[in-house]
Amino acid sequence: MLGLESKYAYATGRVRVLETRLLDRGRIDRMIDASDLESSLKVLAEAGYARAELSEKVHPSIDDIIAGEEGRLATLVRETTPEPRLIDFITARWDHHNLKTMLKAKLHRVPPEKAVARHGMVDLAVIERAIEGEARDLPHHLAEALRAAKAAHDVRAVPETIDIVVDREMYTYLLARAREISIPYLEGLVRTEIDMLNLSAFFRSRRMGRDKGLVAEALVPGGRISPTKLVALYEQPPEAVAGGLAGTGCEVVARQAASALAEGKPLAELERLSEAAMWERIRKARYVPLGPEPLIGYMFAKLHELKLVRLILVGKTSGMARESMRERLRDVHV
Amino acid sequence: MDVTVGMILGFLGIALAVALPGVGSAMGVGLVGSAGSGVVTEDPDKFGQILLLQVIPGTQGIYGLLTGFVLMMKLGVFSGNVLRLTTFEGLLVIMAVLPIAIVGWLSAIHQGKVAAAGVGVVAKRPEELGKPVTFAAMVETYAVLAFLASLLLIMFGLPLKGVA
Repeated sequence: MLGLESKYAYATGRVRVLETRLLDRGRIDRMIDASDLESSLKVLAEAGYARAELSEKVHPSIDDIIAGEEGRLATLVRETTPEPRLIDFITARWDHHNLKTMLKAKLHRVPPEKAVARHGMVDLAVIERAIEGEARDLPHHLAEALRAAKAAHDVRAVPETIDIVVDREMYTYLLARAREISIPYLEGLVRTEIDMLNLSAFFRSRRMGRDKGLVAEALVPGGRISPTKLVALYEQPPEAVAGGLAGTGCEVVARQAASALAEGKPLAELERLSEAAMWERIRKARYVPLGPEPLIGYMFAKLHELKLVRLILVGKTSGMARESMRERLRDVHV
Repeated sequence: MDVTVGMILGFLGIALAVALPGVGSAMGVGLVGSAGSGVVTEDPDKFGQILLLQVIPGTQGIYGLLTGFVLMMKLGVFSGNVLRLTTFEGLLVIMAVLPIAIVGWLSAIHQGKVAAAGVGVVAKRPEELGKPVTFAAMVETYAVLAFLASLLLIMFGLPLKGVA
């Protein structure tokens, strides 16, 4: 009679408190307006970012701060969810990220990024061995992503190929997982992510004048927009694109993206529109009183918040102009 | 003592009056307690406000127990001289407890859902406690009406004489 409402009641209670600690527009603005990195870190410390606190005037590294919060998020989900597979929607991203980073490092002989995710389910040594050819211990979905990425890289030997193929495999895996778990809100979020990824690849490629065949390879199936439809619209004028996507729920984003790019705005505008569309979906969980939605919404919101935090902190470190940062994060808030 | 079918039905009526609203209240109180534990894990200062929300779905269980007590008195359970009801009298007893049994059971669960949603309000705006309490109290109206209906039926609508 109570079902999921009862199972997720504890998680909902915890999330309702944690939602109040997510960075709101005011805090994001304060971080952007801060005169230096130290002042930005103070805002994070106020918001409960444990590792953002300064000790003996030593700055914690951005990676440490992000990793600390990622660890807390994973612990929260593990402690509260009655559905253990839900943790995949966080850790699978980190595992695929590590796979991409380490594979690119190996194939292009560059040192691996410092920012390998630290809280993935798969040990880095296992991924490394798999890249060397010993994939026995690698979970099936990651082994499949590795095989596909290597095969695609053999045909087009650039790092971007690895990103495209591993992302495609990851979203295919996450969508299959969401369908297994059978929570419509979760499946809807993953499908929106896929749509935004596809639209981003579509418009980015148009702007760069890439071949239609390359776009088709980058598109992930399973979203509300069929990749076949996108490929068919690839060479159409901007106004035809939004019309062609009518009924998918993405026509507004497509129209905005098409007109922004036609006006010569930078590609970062695409990211901003995608994130705004994701926030709209995520925010729907706020209006669900009980059930899995609040926890899932919080997971996605926190992951997005961490992306923003990284962006702002890196911007602060590199001396990025406040106005550029504000423009990039204009509609993005929790 | 010879047990009649009517007596069995009468005791079934008492059991329904006590058990169903009790089960509903336990589910409702449990739901609010789970959500409240989540809030208290992160913010222990909210314990008092959440406790207030948690007790609200517990009242149906009390109404059921009171109905059961009145019925026990009516059937002579406390005097040790239990009325030997006819089958029709037993059926009337069951009919009389149905309002509180059904409404108490379901309203407690729904009230629990409303109160658990109210826990979210307390987590974010503790100063607004009165509003979720009012929302939850609205559900109580129907439990009170059903309780009154059962009580009046038992007290004035059951001409129980039994058989010799």
